[in-house]
Amino acid sequence: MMNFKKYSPLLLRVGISMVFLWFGFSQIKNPSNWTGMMPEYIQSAISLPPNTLIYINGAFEIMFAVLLLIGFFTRTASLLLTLHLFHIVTIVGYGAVGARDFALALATFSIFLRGRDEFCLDELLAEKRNKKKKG
Amino acid sequence: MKKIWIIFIIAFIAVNAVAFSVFLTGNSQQGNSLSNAINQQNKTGNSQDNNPITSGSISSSELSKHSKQSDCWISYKGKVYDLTKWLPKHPGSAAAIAPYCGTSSEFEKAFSDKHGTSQVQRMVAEGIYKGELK
Repeated sequence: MMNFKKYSPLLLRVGISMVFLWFGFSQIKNPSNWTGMMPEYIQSAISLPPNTLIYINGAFEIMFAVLLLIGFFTRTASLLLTLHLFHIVTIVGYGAVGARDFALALATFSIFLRGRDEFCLDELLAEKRNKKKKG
Repeated sequence: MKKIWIIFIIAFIAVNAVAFSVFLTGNSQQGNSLSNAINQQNKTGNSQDNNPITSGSISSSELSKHSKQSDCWISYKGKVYDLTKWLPKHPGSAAAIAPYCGTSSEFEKAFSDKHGTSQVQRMVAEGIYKGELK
């Protein structure tokens, strides 16, 4: 019987990454569809056009989603994405969207708590380092 | 080396799958919805003289009849818009707008508090213009 347990963290990491990738790409493609989500205090604090802020946010989500996907700086990427998503939950508020985003934030946080898994680049690099030390 | 290949193949497939779905399907419809809404409003605006039922002046009592999420009219700066079709697409959820359906000053205040003037253009594009508020 195959051991499927080892694929569980990989599945979680890939699934969460794909969510952030989707939203990141969507923001890059149509920033005007997302400017309504940008809180007023950010627009007033950073004197950049709303579309530019959305591009930056989209790029941030894509970049860290890719890091999470390949498992490079897994803990850092997952923590930043967790905080980002919790911030979004406070903006969106209580409702269907907020509830789902909250659950996604918790799932992302669980990746942070677990750290790297067998299929992370971090794990492979750590194994290489250990081999070098022993050798 | 085998595991590193698995990692990068999975990453490659995942990124491409998401990019494909965003840029070639679903989200392109979302992007087109804005331009469709602008075209629709232009058509409504042009037909004002020909369609007295949905254009011209609208009284406050008439506006207040359209106070449900399934039939949502609002007034902004003296102009009445039908936001019914836009409500499900509102990024902040339909529930954020629904309480202000059928209202004028209440909606204006809530809208200004939340968005200032940054989303006026978008609201005007997404809503269907109904007429002037009497």
